[in-house]
Amino acid sequence: MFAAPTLNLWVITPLIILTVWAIILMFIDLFIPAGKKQWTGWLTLVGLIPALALTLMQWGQTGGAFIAEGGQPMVVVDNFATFLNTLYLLTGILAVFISVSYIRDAGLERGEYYFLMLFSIVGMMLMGMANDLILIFLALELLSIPLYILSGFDTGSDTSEESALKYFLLGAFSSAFFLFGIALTYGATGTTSLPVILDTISLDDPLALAALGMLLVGFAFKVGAVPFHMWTPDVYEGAPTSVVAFMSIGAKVAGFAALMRVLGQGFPMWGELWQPAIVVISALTMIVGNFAAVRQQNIKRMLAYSGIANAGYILIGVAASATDPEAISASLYYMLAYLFTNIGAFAVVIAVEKLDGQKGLLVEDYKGLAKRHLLLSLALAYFMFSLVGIPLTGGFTAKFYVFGAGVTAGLYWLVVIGAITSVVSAFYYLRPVLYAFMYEGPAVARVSRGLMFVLVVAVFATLVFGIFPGPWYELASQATFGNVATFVAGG
Amino acid sequence: MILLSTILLLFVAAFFVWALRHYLTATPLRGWMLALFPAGSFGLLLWQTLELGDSAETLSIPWIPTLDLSLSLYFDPLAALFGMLITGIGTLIIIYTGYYFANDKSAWRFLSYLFLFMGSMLGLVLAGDVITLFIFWEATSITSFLLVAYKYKDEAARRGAFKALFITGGGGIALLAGLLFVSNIVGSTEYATILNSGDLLRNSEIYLVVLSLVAFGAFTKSAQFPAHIWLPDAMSAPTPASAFLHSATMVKAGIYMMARLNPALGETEAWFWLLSIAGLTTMVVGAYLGTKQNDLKALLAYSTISQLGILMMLIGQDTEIAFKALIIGIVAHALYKSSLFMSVGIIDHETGTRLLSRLGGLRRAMPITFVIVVIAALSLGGLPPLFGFLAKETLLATAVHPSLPLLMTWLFAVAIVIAAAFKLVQAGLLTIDVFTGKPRDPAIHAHEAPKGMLFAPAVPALLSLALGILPEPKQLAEFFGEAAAASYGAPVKVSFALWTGLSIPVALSAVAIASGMLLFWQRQRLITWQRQLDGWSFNQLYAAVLATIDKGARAATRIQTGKLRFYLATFLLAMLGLVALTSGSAWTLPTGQGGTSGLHMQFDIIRLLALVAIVGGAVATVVIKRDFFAVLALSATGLGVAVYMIVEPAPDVALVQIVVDILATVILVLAIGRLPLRLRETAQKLRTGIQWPTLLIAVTGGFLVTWISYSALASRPRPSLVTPFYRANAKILTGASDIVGAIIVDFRALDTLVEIGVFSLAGLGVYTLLRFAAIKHADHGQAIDAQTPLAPHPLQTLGIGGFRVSPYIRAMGDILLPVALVIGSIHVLYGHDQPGDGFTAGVIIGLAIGFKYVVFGFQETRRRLWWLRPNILIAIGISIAIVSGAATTIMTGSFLSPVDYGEMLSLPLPTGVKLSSGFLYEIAIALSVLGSVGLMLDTLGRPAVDVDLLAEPPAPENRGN
Repeated sequence: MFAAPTLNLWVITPLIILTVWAIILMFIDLFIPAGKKQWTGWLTLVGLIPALALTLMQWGQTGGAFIAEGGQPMVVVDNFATFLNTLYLLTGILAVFISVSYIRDAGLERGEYYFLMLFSIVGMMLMGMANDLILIFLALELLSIPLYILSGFDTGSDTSEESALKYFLLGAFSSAFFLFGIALTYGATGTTSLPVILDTISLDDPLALAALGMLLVGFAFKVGAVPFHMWTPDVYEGAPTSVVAFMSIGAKVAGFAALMRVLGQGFPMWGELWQPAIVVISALTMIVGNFAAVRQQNIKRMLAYSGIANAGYILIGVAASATDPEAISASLYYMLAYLFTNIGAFAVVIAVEKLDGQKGLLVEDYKGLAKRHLLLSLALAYFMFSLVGIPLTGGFTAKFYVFGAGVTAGLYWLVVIGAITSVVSAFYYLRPVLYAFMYEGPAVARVSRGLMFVLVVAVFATLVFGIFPGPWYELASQATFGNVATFVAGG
Repeated sequence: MILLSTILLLFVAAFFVWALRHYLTATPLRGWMLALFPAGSFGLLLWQTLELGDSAETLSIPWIPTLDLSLSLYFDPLAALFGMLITGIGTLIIIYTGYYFANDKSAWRFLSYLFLFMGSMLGLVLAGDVITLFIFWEATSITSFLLVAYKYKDEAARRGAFKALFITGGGGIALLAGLLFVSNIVGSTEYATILNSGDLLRNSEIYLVVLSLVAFGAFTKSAQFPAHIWLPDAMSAPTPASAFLHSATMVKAGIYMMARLNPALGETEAWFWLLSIAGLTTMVVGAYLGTKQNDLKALLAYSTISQLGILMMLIGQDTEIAFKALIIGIVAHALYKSSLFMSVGIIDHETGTRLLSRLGGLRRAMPITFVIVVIAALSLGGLPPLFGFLAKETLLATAVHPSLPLLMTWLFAVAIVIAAAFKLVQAGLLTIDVFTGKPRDPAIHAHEAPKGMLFAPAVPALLSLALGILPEPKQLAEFFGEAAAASYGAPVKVSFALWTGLSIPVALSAVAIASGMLLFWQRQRLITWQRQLDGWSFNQLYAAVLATIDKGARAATRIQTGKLRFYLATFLLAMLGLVALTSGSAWTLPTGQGGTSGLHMQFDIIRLLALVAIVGGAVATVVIKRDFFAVLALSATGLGVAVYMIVEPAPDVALVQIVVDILATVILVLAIGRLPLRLRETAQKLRTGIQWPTLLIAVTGGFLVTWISYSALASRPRPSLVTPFYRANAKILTGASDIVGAIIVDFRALDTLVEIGVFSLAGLGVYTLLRFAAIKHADHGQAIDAQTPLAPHPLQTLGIGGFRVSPYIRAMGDILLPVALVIGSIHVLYGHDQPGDGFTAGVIIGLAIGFKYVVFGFQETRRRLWWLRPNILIAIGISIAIVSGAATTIMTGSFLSPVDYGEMLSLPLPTGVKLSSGFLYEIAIALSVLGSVGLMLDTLGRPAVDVDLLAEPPAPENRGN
């Protein structure tokens, strides 16, 4: 057989588990009666939890599978991929807990919801593991198509359908650029394999530079960076909230995963060239995201802009990695902390949202929440503090690391913009908190057991990241590319 | 550890108050009891101070070892001084609060916030590294927010609290950024290192950035002009909080910060000018504005601002005397201001008002309060023999220090004299106007406060007096000297002697006192005049900042129109910008040289026709208004591309292009056919002509892409790496003579697997969205042919929409499927050696089925193709791929690697046919593709007739903002 056929099946075992389980679940779902679809939801965990366990066991190991031409594996597992895979799987598990009661109460309870989510997670995981541009593209589609469908899951609701359509059309548009970027890269280097690109690329080839620009467009779209962010608020507002909670983390992290791998392993020596582009995008993203959020009355739109703004902060670490590859550890840690804070915030939104006719989604609807739901309001306040970046929260340590990475890399002005926009962010993050605690109002919430679980986990995790960030940051810093020597075939 | 326990003790107190909230009675006793906590903390600090040696005591708890970060404390005389002020005055405040909130059981909340604040504040001054400092810094912002907003039902309290939080909390983030830069330059976050790296910092190229950020943080916290505006509004806090936060503690945090960092960042020109000017302005503005206030608390707030300006100015100086003045000023102010605040609180408490216009003649009813206020106010006014006099003297001595430029000396001296005069007026207002004369409001019946309540303001007032008149306590003076030295960076000698002989400062002091008395005598005129000048305040600046944020928000949301067209245009423009940014500098005119393959400039009639089809089709798609025709034009573009590929020659690619193009057209036609006619007509009307800006963007984008493609072809650095590899290896390694087939099934089997997954998902997506929408709309798949046919419409193409088609076409529909099955089978069987593969097989069969839907309509097609179960086809397809892949894994150790079962089992197979894993994979691909296509057709072919929809106007495109 050709080219070192040692197969590391374990490299993709978590993926296989999820895929196979998703297919099996499609059949099981046929036998679950209409009113009991929550079982499909809980059964999703049967796939997710073992996949998570296996992923955790992959920590510290490096290997590749599917050797393509050029002798490089198409799929790799390293700490970087494992770290991010853990993030997706955790997101998935928490999203299941959020979704079960939500989609039942919203009248959207259908089995497809869950296995679409599973397929999307497979796509996300593949994004971080792919070592080849074509596979990254496929992973991008694999993760996106289920999300397009899930966004429009509330069929019959104009906003949900509009959301799905916009997401799909703009997504397809960005995919086209991404593909063009791959084609140009191929034209410049004769390969799509990242390590081979690294070996063969010539430093001043305008073609490859244009290719890089096109690739960046695709990633910037996926992570919701300005000016490719415009789909985000419309999609977040229209899509079912549980879907938004899932994709606001999963899709964003996956976009960053591929971005970091492409920049860090395909084009690292071009740091000087792509750093300005990332810096500009990062600055714009922080500014536009934070300022636009100030005016939002709808909390889902607000969180959409908040998601945009946070992409800007994560990009600081990416920009810094141009000079110091270790700097992405800050961004990795940021995403870890952001995962829990953000899913917690969405859990609160879901608790307050009233499903008859999209009510309870305005910031004003939080007036008086603390009177009746003190603990929920405290959780809300804590998540919002974390998003602002106030000490003793995960959000603070996360911002601290990315700012620190920016300072070390000499990106002073970017950090200053980050600091100023953080101040602006207090405006909109604290508003629901003020309304909840200081105003009289009729706000009520329903906290299902699943939501309760997510809230407790999120508060706990945010607290742990806020107080003992050390070990977690340590993990993130082991997940950078610098610690992984090479992807020797079969290694 | 003792240091840490001083902080923890206060947090424990906060917890204690909360835990015992039901048991602590609402009597003054509560305050006395709880005061034990800060008193204990004070005692411990005192003990530690006495133990303190020459060098600072540090404590470090590792926090994030990887980054060399720890939570540390740093204890030196400067920190000790602030710490003791905080806990000492804190003790009195707690006692006072016990009386202030007597009979208010719910005040546990206030007490607990107060302890939280106290703990944070103590943490702030004891912090030994940048991170700890920042954490406590923001903690004081938040806890003070809680305290100010304590009466949160009052709109003014909420506004004031938010203003304070926004300004000070925001400043905190700037401070963090500045301190991070500092740590980056120094290489450590610890004070111990930072304070010894002054030269490194001062010579850094970003010194000015660092300085501005740090100063911004300190100025906002310490209410320096023009950020001072939050302080008067924060007076909506209950008085005990104001007395604590706005005299001795929170507002001193910025002062402390700058005093602390003076050895590291100070002693430069920029430092001097920045702090001097800011401090000077704040001092004058505060003194001036304080005089015209009617509310006693507001008066005190402005006088605090003024004093903070003085202190900030002093830190800016580079003389020994300045730091002596600084320490004395800090202590003097903390003493008299806390006393005055508490007294005003008592007055408010006992009379129900604190407005100057209503108060008067309280001397008789409140004699003790009167005495206390007189002492404290004289200290405020800077009259001998009080401590405040000493503070003013040293201040004046600083101003006339010979090292200052002459102009500055004059400026300082004049400003200080003016400020001192105004302060004397304020002292007069507080004493004479409030306590002497006749009561202005007969409704007020004042009486003296309980003795215990008077205890709290009496202590600092008496200390002000004692420090002024008692023989100099040597140890205390030494301690002050050490604290000043810690900030100055060199030894400072402090003595408390009030009279040092006739000197310029004394003379200036006399001028100040004289003019102050003059002003007080003419105070009615002064205040009337001042109030006439009203109308402009720096609140407008705050409002302007808020308005800027609002404007920025508007601008940031303006692009969010909700219109997809607009998003796409932005997208395209941004793409152009990004590509220009990454590659702009590297472009040179492609010359066609240097490339190995060069540019083939072949043009023949076929290429020309194809080109016409491609370009014409693309233009037509945009220009044509009728949807079906636009779709057909789009299809022509795709087929034109296919022609190019055939000529090239790339038959595999061309084949895929053709079948996919046709499939896409069929699907689009079916989808459009489902739309209500009226909706389509409206949409077509909305299609306007060419819009020039859009056209410009599109042309620019097209030009760029053409340019890139052209240079890609013209200056390609090397020929393909992969084609020779595959040409050489495909047959050997995989047994396939068709390279593309080999790539799809073997070399890039994983890609293909993911791809069929994606394709299946797309089918599933169409099904999920449309079927469930249909079910929701109560459409149960009722066929269109069963209903009354709608009136024919010119927009409807024949063949779908329920029109009977000719028998000729029906016959075609019957024949096409078997033919397609045969072609598909050939593709699957021989895909390895010739163009065509499982994918094309699946699509071709799918197309035949699509034709059936078009010709026969939904119901008849379902009846004829009863065996078609798309879901099951997909599942079987993907399962075969995975099982086959797993089987090869077991056999060869490689997932989806080529295994020829036919050869292994020596089956008698016809030539060219192989029963290999590749063959199985082709089948899998064909089945899942067929299933997915079938799923889409089944969903789209189902008529969605909903009469209601016909009447509905088009859904509004967006609600973006």
